[in-house]
Amino acid sequence: MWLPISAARWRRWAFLLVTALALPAKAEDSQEVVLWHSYRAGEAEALDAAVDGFRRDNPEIRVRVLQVPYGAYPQKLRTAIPQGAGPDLFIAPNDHLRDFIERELIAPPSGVDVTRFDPRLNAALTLKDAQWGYPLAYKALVLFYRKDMVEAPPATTDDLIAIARRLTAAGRYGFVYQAGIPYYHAPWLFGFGGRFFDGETLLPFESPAAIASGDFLRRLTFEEKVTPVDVQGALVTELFNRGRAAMVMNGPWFVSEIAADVPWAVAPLPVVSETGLAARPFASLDVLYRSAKASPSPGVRALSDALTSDAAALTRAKVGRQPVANVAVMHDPIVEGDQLLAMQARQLAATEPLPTEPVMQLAWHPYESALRQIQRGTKSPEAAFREATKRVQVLARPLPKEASLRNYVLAALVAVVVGLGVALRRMRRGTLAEVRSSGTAYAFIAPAALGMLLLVGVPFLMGVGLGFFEYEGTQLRFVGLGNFASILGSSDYSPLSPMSFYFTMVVTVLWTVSNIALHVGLGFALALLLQPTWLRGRGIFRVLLILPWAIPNYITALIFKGLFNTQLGAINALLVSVGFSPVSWFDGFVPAFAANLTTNVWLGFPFMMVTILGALQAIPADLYEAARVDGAGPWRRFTSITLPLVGPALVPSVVLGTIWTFNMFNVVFLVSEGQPEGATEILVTEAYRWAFMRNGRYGYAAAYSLVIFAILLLYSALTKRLLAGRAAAEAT
Amino acid sequence: MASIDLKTVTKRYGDVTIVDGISLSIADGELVVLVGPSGCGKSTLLRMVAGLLAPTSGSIHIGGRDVTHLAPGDRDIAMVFQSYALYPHMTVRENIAFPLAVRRRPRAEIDGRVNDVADMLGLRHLLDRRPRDLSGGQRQRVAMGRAVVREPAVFLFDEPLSNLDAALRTRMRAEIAELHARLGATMIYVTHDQHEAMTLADRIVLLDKGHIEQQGAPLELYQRPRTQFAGEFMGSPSMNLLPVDKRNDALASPHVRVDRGALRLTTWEQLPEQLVLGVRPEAFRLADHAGAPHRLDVQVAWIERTGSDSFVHGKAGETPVVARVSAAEGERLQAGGTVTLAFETLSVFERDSGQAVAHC
Amino acid sequence: MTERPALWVRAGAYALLTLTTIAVMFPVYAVAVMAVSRAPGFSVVLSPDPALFTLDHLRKFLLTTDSEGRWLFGRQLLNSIVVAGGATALGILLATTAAYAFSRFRFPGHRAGIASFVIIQMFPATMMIVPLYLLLSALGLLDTITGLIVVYSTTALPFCVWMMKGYFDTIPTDLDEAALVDGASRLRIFYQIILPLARPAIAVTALFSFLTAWNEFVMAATFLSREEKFTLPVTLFRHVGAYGADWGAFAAGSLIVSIPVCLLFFALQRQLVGGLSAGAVK
Repeated sequence: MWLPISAARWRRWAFLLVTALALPAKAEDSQEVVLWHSYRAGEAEALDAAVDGFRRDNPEIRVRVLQVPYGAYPQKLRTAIPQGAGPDLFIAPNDHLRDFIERELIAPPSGVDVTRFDPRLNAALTLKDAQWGYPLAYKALVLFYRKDMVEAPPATTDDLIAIARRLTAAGRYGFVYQAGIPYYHAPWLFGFGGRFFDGETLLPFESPAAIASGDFLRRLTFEEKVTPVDVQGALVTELFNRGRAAMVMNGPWFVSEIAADVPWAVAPLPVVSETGLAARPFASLDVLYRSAKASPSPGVRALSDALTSDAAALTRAKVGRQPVANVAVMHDPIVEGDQLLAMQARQLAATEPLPTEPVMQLAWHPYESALRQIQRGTKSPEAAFREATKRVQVLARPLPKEASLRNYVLAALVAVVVGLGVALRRMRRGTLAEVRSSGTAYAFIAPAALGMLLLVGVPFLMGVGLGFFEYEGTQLRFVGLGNFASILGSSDYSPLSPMSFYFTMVVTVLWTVSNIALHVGLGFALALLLQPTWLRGRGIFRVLLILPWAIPNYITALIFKGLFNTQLGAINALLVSVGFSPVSWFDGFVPAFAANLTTNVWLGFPFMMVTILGALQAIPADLYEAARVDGAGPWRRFTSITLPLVGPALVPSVVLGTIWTFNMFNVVFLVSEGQPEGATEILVTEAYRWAFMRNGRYGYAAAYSLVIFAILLLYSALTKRLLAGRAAAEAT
Repeated sequence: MASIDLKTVTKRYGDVTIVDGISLSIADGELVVLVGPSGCGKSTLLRMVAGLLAPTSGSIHIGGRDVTHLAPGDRDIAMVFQSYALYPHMTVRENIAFPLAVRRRPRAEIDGRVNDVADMLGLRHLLDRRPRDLSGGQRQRVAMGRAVVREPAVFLFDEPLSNLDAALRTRMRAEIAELHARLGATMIYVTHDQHEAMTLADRIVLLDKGHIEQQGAPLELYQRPRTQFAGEFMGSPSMNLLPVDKRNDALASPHVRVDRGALRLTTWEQLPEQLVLGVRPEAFRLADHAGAPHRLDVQVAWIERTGSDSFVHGKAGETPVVARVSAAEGERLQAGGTVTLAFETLSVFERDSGQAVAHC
Repeated sequence: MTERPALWVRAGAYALLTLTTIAVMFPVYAVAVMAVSRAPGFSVVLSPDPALFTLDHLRKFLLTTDSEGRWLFGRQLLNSIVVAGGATALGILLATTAAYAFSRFRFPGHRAGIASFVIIQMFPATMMIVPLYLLLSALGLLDTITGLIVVYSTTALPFCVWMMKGYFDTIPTDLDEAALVDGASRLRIFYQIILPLARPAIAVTALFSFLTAWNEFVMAATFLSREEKFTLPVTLFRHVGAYGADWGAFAAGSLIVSIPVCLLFFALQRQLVGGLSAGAVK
């Protein structure tokens, strides 16, 4: 443990450590402009190039650029900006526009003449007589096709199906896109004359046009089978590059993924034959926003201007191959000569603005479920969309009614007084003297207790408190037990529906129990296998088997998600190679649950294995010898010696493992993502969705978390009682 | 060098009283052995003297100084534990040096004293080993070394020999006695082994159920037990206890008879009706010897021959009896037979209270 | 059980172990193949093609510079080491002292204290992030390595305290008492007698604290707002974007991020076996 490091080296390390820790928390500099974005690859390079240009021209202004990982971006914006710790400017898509406005995260920017942008894009960002951001680039789905397979792109959907049918063969598809995702279905919906949101009523999912678009999807995937199901971005790329997809509907980002040797071209989306309307994709925007906390300082204005200038736009178009929003650049010969960018500009004429209503944030997930069911043919479009509407209504349930804070405070006070009274009564006489004489003990505990109190206790109490409130915009409103009533009352839906708290709870319990059983079972089996002294290479086996523990669980989860992919995944390939048919892992509850379970068992068994190994080693060998002399066979020795002696050693690990598994967020969230229809969701992932993916119902999520806490508390109290009971029974 | 004074020391845990108001004075340089059955409170008492436990009430003085509220390290005491409590990660040298190192003594002084102690205890060649590489006896010696090196005023021993085999125990006992003689330090020695108590002690303090049953010089306890419990506890094999009734001319039962005349008791009249005779095994002779006034009939069950002596195990009616006779006498006996034993010295206890009423 | 069982039993055991190990290693192998293959996505895993071999992903992850041309990987590696190391050191300090008190003293609040250490971690961590953000902001520790160290040091604390207490319970209290009589203070007994004897448990605590801190992503990404302060997992997640992911780079990053922890596991695995369960067995 204690590394032999010389004094000189110690000093060097100490120096490094001190410098790393002592970096100033914040360099207050009025001339500093902070810009956040979540671009990567070419787009990030293009942005950096534009910023570099700005730095050269404005050396007095310091620009600090931060590339925030996409996964943490929205949450970070929502948390940081109200605290004044956010950026001055940030780049984000326009789908959260209204949410940003309601939360007061953004303010209308200034310093830029907006006539340089395409007016359609300006219009998409204008609300309540103000323009809330500057469009940097837009993205619209277009049709990519392989020139070696498709001579002329289809003009109509009938053409599309005809060509696709001709090119579809074993392992090859005529037309590939991520059909399960609403963003990719939108062109059909609009092409059939449908709408997502009509301003007044909620989501006309069930309109005849919407159902017709659903029928079309069903035709592509289920009847004609020219389009594969369960498609993810990586699969689209894969199939296209390998000549196993002739046509692909995708956005401009796709171009960087196409292999160099593939002859490709782009075309506008076809006209829907049934209606004669063009299939209109969403125009999603990359927007430069000004944080509501940032003053419109000269630096901020100058950077806004520079980033949105025609020159910068041209750089972004060339380096990042972005379809930029500047009118002048759209007509630049270089851009017009780029077939992708030219086609984006052409497609822009036939797009729909991305809906920014908060209710749409709730709609994506149910809508996605509906699309998946339609593709697979498990539900008719009517039924699937009706279900989706219902789910959106449930998710968009009104906030609980405001409650009287005074009554609750009074009740809480009474509870505290009664609690204190009981505590005082239960305190034995002389407790005070004991407290006084336990100074040393308290001194030893103090550092940990202080840390826990501050960093776990305080946030915990804040979370508990929040469960009794709900946000309305930026205002906290006291709702008393309203959130709990809504969760536990299960009033909007049957307890048997996957939307219900009770359904999720049963799934969570099932999840926990099956995990722990498999962790312990597999751990025990492997520990026993690793135990015998004649085994060679024990060390190597042990090291390799512990390995899953060392790898961050989100990496594991993402890798397993890939392995379980229906088309590309290694697991299906393995099944096929031994003669089974491939499984659509995330279409049914059982396979999806199994996929989650497999991932988490892979992650979790080493901990149990190591614990059991330790316990096995602690069993004295003469016990086994005695049993052998007594004539006990291997099985008898296992059940009469190994099990009873290892069992107690396992109890703490099992209790802890239960708590960890119960709250194992990453696996469920990243592997099955709750599919199908939210059925494999567990309580923590539900709480997370409420907090961060359903219009930020923090209060509801906090109440959810509190319920989780209560369940686990009950569990630990029960196990404690059970164990105490067993110990007492053994003692008598 | 110091005397020790305990004044009505009590230790209670909730409703359970472990040590019940014990007062005890120990003179400077005296070796007192606390002895008693397990649960009698002897270890608790020792730990309170050491400062490892705080008394519920009462006070403890060492060398005239009230140490009741002092930390163990400030009491000028050293303690040897039953488990030796050697620090497993330290060498023998470091173990012995630890009390000095804690007190920040100069390096040279520590080295010198550790070497002296090691020489005294024959540990010189073991100084760089770790405790796990030592035998039981060696560990025991290291534990003593760690106590001795500080030259404390008081030594406390908590059953230090109970983890050793019989031969080693005898030797270590001798060494402790020698140590006591050489250092002249005050010592409190806790054991449950009356043999150890007898051989080591200047004074034995016999404890039972949290109070002092009897204290005094070893022989006094052995010969004049104040209670039936004291008589039974001291001595091995145990004192034989024979229930008898007082008659006009004798104390008797169907198997035993002690004539009034031979007892030469001046207090015969005050004797209660129901009594128990306590007779040490070595007090018996075969009855054919002349001059033994008291007699006991024993059904012999078996004879344990140790070579030097023979122990006769048998029963007088329902009462088990053990008698030590010479090897030659033992040769003449046979299991299954009946033998009449004669004895001279005995203690008489009142049957109800267990109090001794006479020693003859 | 010194004697060797029949040949077929041994062969079976070897076969079973080998099969399990292969199954367990497969995802690791998948990551490795993706990290060094030019093709995007998962299909290369089953048919690794030497022609697609490339070190570009690894190079990209290792050599990225920020917008001001600074070598990010080196900086962020140092950050990760400082954060994980600091959290480990602080975690050990907090866990061992608290566990010592729980193991050696009986005091009012003893049972409640132990229980609360277990209970407190039942509240879902995802809901702690926003309150923690506010807290760090109030303490002026937002966007600092120190803030992250402090937060991480308490994450694994409940488990570590529980485990350390179990281990301390197996160390005879005679040793404490002997040292007390020898004149040592409680503090001295703690660091000079007890800590050296608890090395296996300390190793496990260290491993756990390090693992937790090293791998954490969400809090690091939320609390840190300067590229030069990011830890490696934050950088790793840059390769997963809104419109798909760069799986090659992600795999390469995963490989690099996982290596230090794996090495630590290899180094400490012996202690791990004893340290984890010692407290529970005796």
